[in-house]
Amino acid sequence: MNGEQLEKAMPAGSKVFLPNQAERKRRVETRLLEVFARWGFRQIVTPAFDLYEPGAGGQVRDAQTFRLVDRETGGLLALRSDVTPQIARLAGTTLADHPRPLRLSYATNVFRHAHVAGVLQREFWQAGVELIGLVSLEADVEMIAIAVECLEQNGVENIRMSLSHSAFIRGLLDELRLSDSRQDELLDAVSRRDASGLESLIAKLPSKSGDARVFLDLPELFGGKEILARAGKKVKNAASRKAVKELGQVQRMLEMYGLADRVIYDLSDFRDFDYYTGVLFEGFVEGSGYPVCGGGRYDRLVGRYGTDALGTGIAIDLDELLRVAPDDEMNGLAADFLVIDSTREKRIGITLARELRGLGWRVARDIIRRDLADSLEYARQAGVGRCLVVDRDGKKPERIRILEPAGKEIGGFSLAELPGKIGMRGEQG
Amino acid sequence: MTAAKKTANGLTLALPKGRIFTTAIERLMEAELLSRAISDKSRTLIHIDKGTGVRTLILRNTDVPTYVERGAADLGVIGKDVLLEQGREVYEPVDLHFAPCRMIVAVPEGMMWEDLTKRMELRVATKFPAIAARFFADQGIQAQMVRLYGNVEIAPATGVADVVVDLVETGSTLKANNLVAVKEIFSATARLIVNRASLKTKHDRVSAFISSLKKVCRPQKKKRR
Repeated sequence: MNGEQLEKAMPAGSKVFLPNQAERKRRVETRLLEVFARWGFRQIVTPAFDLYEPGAGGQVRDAQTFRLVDRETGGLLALRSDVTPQIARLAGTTLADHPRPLRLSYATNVFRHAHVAGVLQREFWQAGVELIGLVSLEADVEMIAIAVECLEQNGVENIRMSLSHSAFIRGLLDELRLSDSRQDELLDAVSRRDASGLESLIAKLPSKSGDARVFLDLPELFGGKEILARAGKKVKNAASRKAVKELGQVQRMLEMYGLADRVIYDLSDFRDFDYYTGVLFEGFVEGSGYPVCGGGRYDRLVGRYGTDALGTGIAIDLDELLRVAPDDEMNGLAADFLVIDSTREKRIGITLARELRGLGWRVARDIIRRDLADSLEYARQAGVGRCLVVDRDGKKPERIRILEPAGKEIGGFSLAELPGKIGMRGEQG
Repeated sequence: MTAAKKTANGLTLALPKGRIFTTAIERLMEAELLSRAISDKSRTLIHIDKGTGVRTLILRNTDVPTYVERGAADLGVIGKDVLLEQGREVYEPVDLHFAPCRMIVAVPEGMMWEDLTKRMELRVATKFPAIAARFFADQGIQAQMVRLYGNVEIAPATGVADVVVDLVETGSTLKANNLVAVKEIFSATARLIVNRASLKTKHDRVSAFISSLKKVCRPQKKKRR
């Protein structure tokens, strides 16, 4: 073992945030949690280990979940692949007696084995909210409004929220009474907007009664609010009609929020069928093939954990948001000051650093013994704002010189003058 | 139709070199989505059409879905075979009804389909391992994929594999290599694919593009042999 070369690469599908990116991610997360807080949501932290329950998060999620054996019980554990079921479980149990609606938020990582544009990804960062205990379209509209605000707060423009209703397609399907595999085939064609595939699948059906033919129109049932009227005329079954009617009510509320022009309707969207039960949506930004956020109503999920309750929520894909959001260009400095103390006892350097930190500044000490030129070179490469130099014993004791990393001296002071010289961070440069 | 000319302005279209390219260009011109022809022999790989404002990327066949899925192109034209092999997350709203081909299982002359079903560890040479593996698994046949990148027809004769799964248009290459098609996995044509976000964020232009292309791509009469 000794002296053997260790693996240099990270495991495939993992990602590191280097300091600049990590700081930016933290800022974005903070802004999201602030938006959530302004709408009355409080953050909770859920465990990374979850119980493995087949089917709890729907078929697709199930296949992507990392499973491991619980050493205590010999049963199966899962790495958290989705926060919503965890919150739903809490809502149905520990928080069952809390007043409704519950408003909870989170920002965390989830683990899935998934290929994104052909590239393996195993860790995903998300922030989101769950609004539990309200059966109201108003709650759904609130989710859409929060999602838009979250994106806008991070400088994302040209957001398009794509709305649908899972009962629309469910209503069409329920009439057909297909076998599971046939239904999967049909839903797959719907999700790909594969018009000719739909045509051949519908042609194979034993009976084309009722609304079966609406499947053929589905790929074109997308656009502005006018398609709701078009869809309403096409379907006859009660469930689909109710879905269209609800989307119409949502449309009117969105107008009141001033969000109507941000929205498009796409009735082929159903997202995860085992999960969503009502209004659902995904947010898209030009130039990226992936939704940057998504959400919807999942009224069955909470009920499965006990108390009958109803929920709606959103999740924002932080990886995607970081890709599409403009860089907020905070300075990205390694430190505001680098203290270079060449005296033997370092008293001045240590005191100076402590006092500056007390004023809110980010201060690093150049602990290595080296020439001033080398220290300045380090300051330039690491990205330091100013260097504070305490010269070696004898010359000008107590005098602290201020240098730009490029080497230019721009002033000086003694420790006693510090409070007047450098104020609180944020007050002056 | 001059009014329709600029409806697709600013959209990016990914086209695959080879089999599909020439017909795709013809149809796009007929639909007035391109005002001038482009050659796939051209060294320039990005073309902007001055008349319609459509930007065209010339790509390798198998790369088209990647560009569209990632949003580097709003739309693309690609064979259904590539889509089935790669299973990418793109929309495919239009069957363009040209460039027909069949995905088949071919065996050396004298062998029968029934012979395959009884074998263990059948070796299958193919450029489409996902499609072939799925097909044999559905048939309950134990098969091993030998992934090749071209000229799969010589694999059986050279002992690299027992049978091949490949795309054929006429079948003449099979014949020349003493192979016989014993099973059709599917028949396919070229498809228009669309980036998911483009359909939502640029839906007016994308819808206009789709409907003008649809008008010039009608189903052709099937040649049955």
